[in-house]
Amino acid sequence: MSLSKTETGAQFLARLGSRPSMMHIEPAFFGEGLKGKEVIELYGAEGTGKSETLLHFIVRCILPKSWKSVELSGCDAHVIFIDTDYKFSILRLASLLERYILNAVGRARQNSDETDFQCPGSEETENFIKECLKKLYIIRCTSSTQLIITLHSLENIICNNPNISAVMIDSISAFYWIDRYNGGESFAMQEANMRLACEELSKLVNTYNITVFATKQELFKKKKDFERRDREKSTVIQELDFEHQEYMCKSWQKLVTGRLVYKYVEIPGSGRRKFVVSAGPISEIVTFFVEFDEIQFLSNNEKLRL
Amino acid sequence: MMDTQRELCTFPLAPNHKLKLSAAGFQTIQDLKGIKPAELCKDTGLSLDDSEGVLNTVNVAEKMHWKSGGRCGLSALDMLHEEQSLPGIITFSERVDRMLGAGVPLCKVTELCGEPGVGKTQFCLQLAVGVQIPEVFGGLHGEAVYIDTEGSFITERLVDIIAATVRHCEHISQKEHNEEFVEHLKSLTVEHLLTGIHYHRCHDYIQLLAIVHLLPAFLKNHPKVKLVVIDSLAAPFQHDFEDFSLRTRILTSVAQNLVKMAAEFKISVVLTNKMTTKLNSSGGDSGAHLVPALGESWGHACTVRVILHWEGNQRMAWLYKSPSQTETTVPYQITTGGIRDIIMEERYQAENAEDETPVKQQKLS
Amino acid sequence: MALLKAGLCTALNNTVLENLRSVGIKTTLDFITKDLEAVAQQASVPYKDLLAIRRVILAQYSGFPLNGAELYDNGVLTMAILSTGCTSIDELLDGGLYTAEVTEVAGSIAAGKTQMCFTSAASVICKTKQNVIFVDTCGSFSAERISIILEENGESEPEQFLSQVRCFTAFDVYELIGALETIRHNKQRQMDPFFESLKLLIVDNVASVIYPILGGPQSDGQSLITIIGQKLKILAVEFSLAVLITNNLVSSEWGGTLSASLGRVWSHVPHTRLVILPHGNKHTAETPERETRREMMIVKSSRGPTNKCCNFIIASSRLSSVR
Repeated sequence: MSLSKTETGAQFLARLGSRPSMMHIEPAFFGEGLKGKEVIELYGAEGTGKSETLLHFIVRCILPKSWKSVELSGCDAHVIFIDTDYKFSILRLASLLERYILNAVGRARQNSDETDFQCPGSEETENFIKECLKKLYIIRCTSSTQLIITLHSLENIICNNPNISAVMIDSISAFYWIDRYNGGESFAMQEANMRLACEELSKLVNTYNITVFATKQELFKKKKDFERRDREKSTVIQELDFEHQEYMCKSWQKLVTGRLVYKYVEIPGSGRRKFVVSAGPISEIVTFFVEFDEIQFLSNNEKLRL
Repeated sequence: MMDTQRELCTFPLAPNHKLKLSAAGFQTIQDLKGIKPAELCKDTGLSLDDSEGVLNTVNVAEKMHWKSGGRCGLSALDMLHEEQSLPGIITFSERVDRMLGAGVPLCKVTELCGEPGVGKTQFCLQLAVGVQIPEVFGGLHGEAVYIDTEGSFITERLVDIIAATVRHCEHISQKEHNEEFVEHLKSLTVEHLLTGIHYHRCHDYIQLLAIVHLLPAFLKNHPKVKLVVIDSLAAPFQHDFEDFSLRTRILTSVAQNLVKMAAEFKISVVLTNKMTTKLNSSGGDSGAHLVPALGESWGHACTVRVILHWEGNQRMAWLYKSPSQTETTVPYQITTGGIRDIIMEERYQAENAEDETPVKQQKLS
Repeated sequence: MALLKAGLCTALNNTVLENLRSVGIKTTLDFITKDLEAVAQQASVPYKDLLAIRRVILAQYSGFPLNGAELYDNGVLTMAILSTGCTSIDELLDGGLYTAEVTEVAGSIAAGKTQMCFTSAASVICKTKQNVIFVDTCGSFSAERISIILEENGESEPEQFLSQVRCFTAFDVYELIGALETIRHNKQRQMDPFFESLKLLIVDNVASVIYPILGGPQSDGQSLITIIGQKLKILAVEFSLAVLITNNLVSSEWGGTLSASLGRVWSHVPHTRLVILPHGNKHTAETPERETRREMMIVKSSRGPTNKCCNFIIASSRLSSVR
């Protein structure tokens, strides 16, 4: 950005003004809190719970801190969700929201000393959910070119809305093979579009203090020898292999400030799946179950046990 | 919502053409609208011929899908009437014919799998004759293409089958006392029925691929052909193929070409396949069992699959896969005259006794 | 979408286009990613005009932001659950085939995938009176079979329903893409009443057209898989269709477990994946009209827990639940 470029008042404020904090978006994942200007990558194979986690993050973002004396611990932020996979389901998000609110109300009622604790009615709750959903923008993209142009158009949207704190992309790898094919033999050509997207993302993150969450599909896997293959089938968390196979361009690698690696473990007997996420050292492993309308996190004691 | 256009990389263009187009900024058909070949040639660096070719391919592909009917969506009601009006090719075993619906179906690819000696080639020869006899006798009055990859096509055997078939038609004609039938009988000579089979011999998979590639043009010039037999498809592909991935690509590509041919020309395609031993994976019964050769991916390719096998001394035909018929197993036998039904109570009936004796486990296929 | 053409907006006339081309700006992407002040100087085009062009490009070519609340209201209105015609499978799917979702059924040879497609089609055309498109890539479409299913389920005149089903044939990957594009084009133009009431799109079988291009040294196989997956999902989401596709079951790399074929890239595509577990039927006697029992498991779901199973029977009439 050259010095001679003029800036409108709105842009100035948007750049320097504060946006809702992402600090407490999900203590289970980000213990110390997210400080802003972070790009978090959610990496995993098919069916490991990445998109589900994003929906959970949206719930935590768009809910306010509290509502009608019910503690919700939300960030009260607006979110932009870029759906390149065409997998986003607003109805699922709404039911996750509802379940989260109902759980919070249940907890509040238990903890409440007052005998006249008023439970919000179903119509009230529904209106509240709609109000929250207004804080979410969904944009669908069908090609990497459209993704780049969309990211450029985000600047305007973010400028005019000082409450947008997060941009979520599901997934950043959707056009990987198409770009590779269109680029022919030259790696530079293949990665050209992703590089441009990263440049624009980086600009948004740094200028407007946005946090970015992006899912990345596991497209490659190292061929394993028999010993490591047996470990694949292991159900003991300590033995799980949280390795990550990078295939995206350097620009994206430089942009990423934190990575969550997803795996799942079949629970023998019940057939249920337990989702396990690693963000680094083993003590930060998070495990959760996915039910019809909520994510159930397991406590530290529960997760190491099987 | 903007009317987004189809991307150029989804058209069957040569890879280097696609590269040049995208390097010049042409990504969708919208970008090619109103462009003349000369302009395209200048912008992309393609030769004038190539530019014309590109524009042609794109226009043809587009036109094919905008027009109504044809390959662009047929009502199931029309297809029902067509299916009901199309007969099958009789195998001369009523049980097998009934199992398959009305004989080997037209517009579909049927696979016959079995061990050596069970009768695959017998079925092929029988069908090649059966397709030729006139409609009044239950045939299709058509011609057959016989592609032989193993040299198992024996003319003497074929002549036996033809002779028995002609006798069968004569029986019918005698019963019916119809002038028309007598007329048709006149053309049923051994020579005539031999010329109705277009025979090709292949020695390796390259020759086979070449013939399959040339078949559509051949079928256009010979509209009477109603049956294409490939006996056997497995032979050229079983050995000398280290790269299984390449073999799967070639086989599935051939399969799709044959499925397309069967649908487009309304013919029946019959392929024979061998059996191979498969070791059971852990967690099941021990030991090994026989499965059709050429792999799992190939197995999905044919529309109808019949597995011919032995049960003791009895030959059985098992309809393993069919979109419209139930899974069934029926017995059959091979006589000097070809494929016939098993007669349950008495093996030797008066009609068939004089000239037909059951042929036991000879290596005929 | 990519090439800049004159007339895109009033500021973009032929002269401006030529000037832009002379500094290497041919496509919308080139334009957007360049610094406009520098371009204004190099191409001698007024900065104001460039800003106007940029605004039009952003408006026309970027994705359109939808508000969550509006999307929700729209979703509630347009969402529908289509019965597959078999109660146990419907239960497994939490109601049936959901619109705006791609459901995949994977099974080995003769597992019953095509029969499930026929049963679902029959259920949609007679229960909901909506239309069905069947894209046939492997020659398995049989109008007779659908007619029998309708008859055995009590419809005395199956033929009146058959015009609600249309069959597209597509024997290679380009024809499949062409067919999907035709469907999209017809839905957008809204001129053919058949497409107005289209609710279910069936593709049987996706693997047939992909096997011939998968595994070669070039990456076109993977990119075409991505494109097909994308087009199926776009059709499902943008036009609120239920998309049912069939796939094959193959042994994984080191033998043992069976999983849906087409690899890692395709595994991300469907919203829900059902697997018809392998059966070991051996038949010895002639027994027509026999029922064949199968077991189906849900292995992937974007809506809830997985690994639940159900049993069903392939009968002459249709797929039915085990009593």
